[in-house]
Amino acid sequence: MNLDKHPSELNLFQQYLRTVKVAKSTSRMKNPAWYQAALELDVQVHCYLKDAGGATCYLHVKSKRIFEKIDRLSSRQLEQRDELEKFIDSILKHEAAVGAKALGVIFYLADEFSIAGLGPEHQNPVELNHLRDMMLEDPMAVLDDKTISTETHSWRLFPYAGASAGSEFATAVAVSRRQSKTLKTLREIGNQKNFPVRTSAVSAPLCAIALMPWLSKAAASGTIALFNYENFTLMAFFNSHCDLMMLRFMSHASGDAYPANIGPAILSTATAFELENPDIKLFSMVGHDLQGLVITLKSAIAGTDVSTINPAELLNEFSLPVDLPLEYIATTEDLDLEIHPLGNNETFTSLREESWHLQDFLSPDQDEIDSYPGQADMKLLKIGKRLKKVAAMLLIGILVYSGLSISIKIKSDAWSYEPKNLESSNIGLTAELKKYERWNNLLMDRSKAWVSMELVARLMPNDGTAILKDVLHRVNPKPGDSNEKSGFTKEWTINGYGSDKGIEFVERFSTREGIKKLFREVARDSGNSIYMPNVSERDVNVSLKQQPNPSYNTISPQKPGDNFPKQFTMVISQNITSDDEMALAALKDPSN
Amino acid sequence: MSDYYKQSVAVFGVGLPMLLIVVIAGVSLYQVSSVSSEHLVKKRKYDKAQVEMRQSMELLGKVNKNKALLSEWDRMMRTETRGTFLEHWKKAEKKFSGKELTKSSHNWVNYSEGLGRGVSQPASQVNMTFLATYRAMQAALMEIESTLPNMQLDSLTMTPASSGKGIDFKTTFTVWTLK
Repeated sequence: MNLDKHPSELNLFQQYLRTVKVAKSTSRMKNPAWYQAALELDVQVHCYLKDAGGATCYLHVKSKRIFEKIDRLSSRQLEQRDELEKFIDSILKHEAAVGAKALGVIFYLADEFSIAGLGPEHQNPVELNHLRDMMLEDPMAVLDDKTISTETHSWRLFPYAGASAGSEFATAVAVSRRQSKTLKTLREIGNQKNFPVRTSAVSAPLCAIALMPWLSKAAASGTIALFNYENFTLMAFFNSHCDLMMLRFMSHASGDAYPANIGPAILSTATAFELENPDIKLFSMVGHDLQGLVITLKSAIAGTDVSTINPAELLNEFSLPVDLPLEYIATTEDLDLEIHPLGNNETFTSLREESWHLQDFLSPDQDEIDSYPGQADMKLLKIGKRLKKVAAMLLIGILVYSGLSISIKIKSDAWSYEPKNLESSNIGLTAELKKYERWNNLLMDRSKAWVSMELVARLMPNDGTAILKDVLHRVNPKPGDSNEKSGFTKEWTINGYGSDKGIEFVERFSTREGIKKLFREVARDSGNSIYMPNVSERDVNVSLKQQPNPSYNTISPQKPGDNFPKQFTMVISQNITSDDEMALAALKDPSN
Repeated sequence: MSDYYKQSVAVFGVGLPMLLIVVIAGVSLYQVSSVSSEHLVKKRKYDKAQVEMRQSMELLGKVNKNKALLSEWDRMMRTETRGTFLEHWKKAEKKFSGKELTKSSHNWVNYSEGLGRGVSQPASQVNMTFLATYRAMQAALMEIESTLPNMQLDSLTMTPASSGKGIDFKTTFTVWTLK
């Protein structure tokens, strides 16, 4: 992968392509170890550099709590990529590291240490966090001494939590950048192998300061801790609460185990801090015999208690190999505050919570960091990928739904339907139907002479006891009942003669029920429904008048009626309303 | 941590693809909506047309059902004239002897004062007198009225014949005509 170009030289799309390429060609998206600190990883290599002669190395597997000394790296090996690659390969082949998903390489820089004061414009303790950031970005702006090099040395801020008001509240600590290239090479090997190799370069003396809660208690007269290294001795001055007030360091003369005039130096500083008979604790960090220093200090500072810390005791306490550098405890072990209450004071709370002692002095430069997308970018890419998958599924769903929906609609009969002009054919059919209805109405059997005669005939008895004189039947329309239909009346005036028996026969039909019964019989037998009386829109009335026959003469009758003692007149009236189905339609015929 | 890639990933990894998907989905849904709207309009027309079609079919069914009858009526109305009317009577008379049925007279009026009054259908009125027996007259009338359903009785008078033999019948019929 070509990462030569800085992302600032790429356009937005090229930056995106690089991110995608990194995500696809490396495990950065899947393996979060790429973005974890070296000390957070399970498999770690701790390299202790006490001088320019190389690094003593230890393999530490957190999950298995393994601390094992492995082959050391010489100064020559530290400078050669092949050797470093072999070194990493050998670690990953180690039984305890099999299956490792990442490797943390922690350099303990104990070969060099420098301290410098902050500039006068940066003396506000409130700015501590801001100054910490500034020290990373532009240390020259923070330091008081503008002649010191930021090219050859890396600078970090370190706070004095126990400093009194007006005193220095922090100092700048520097280590050499000599190992920067080595660490970069290690990271590059990791990139090449697509295997996270995370590095960290801590200052061994700062880690040593963080050991104080394990090894000391607060002394009312204050404490002075001397951390003796190969080339220098670091002096840490603690107040009565064992809060750090100041750091000083003194280089060793060539071949010496400690500075020759360290006694007066400690005395003058202790006096400045008004520490009377402080506890002095000596830490031999690289195995120097400090008995001479003890005698020197006791003679220089009369009445003070000088004690030497035995690293083996502490390492045994943690079941760690006795040859392990003491600083490992500060980087790998958790402090039990109940057993070591000193950890609760301001200095060590600050160190524990803000990891001042674990600051990476040789962290990758910004260009190297910028070469690869960060964890947030990978997460965003991953989220985007998932979002795209979900959205693509939704889109497919929408497209399928749309396709089906549109397909169903355009295949429907309604879509391809071409309007037909049914109006004209309907008009024709309606006209035809109306014509039928009109003629059906006009031709209804509403008034038939033969049926009327049948009615009259059935009024008379068959035995000749009554006879007809004359009959007048009229049908009268009743126009004006309705705009559409016209009712009518049918009336029969029947005159006749009869004997008592004959009159009795006729009288059977002189009631509404009697005449209706006769009408019903006529309707049933003739099939002429106009005579059906059980229809609400029609009514039948009847009246019968009888009287003696004035021409009654049985001796010499002139006409047949003279033989009957009585004569009668029956009037039958049938009323058909305009609502009756038999009513005459009065519509105009459009075709005629 | 590098700040260079976040914007590009946000734009090309999330923003643009999502925008593209949203646009495609939007266009797709818009098409569906557009087609649905058009389909709704067509469906309404189609449904209306189907209702009209069903009505038309019902009409056609009714017309077809009555077609033969209407055709028969039409034929009758076009072929029957005053002349054929008398022919029918003559045929009916032949079935009876002169003593049983004799048509005495007939008279046509070019309008109807009976059932045809107030009805828009053109009609004539025919007055006829007969000398006949009751049953002969009824039988003849049944035959004629069955043959010519356009006859509607307006009045019927039955009186004893002055000769003492038979009955005088006076009939008035409204006869529906085309003109």
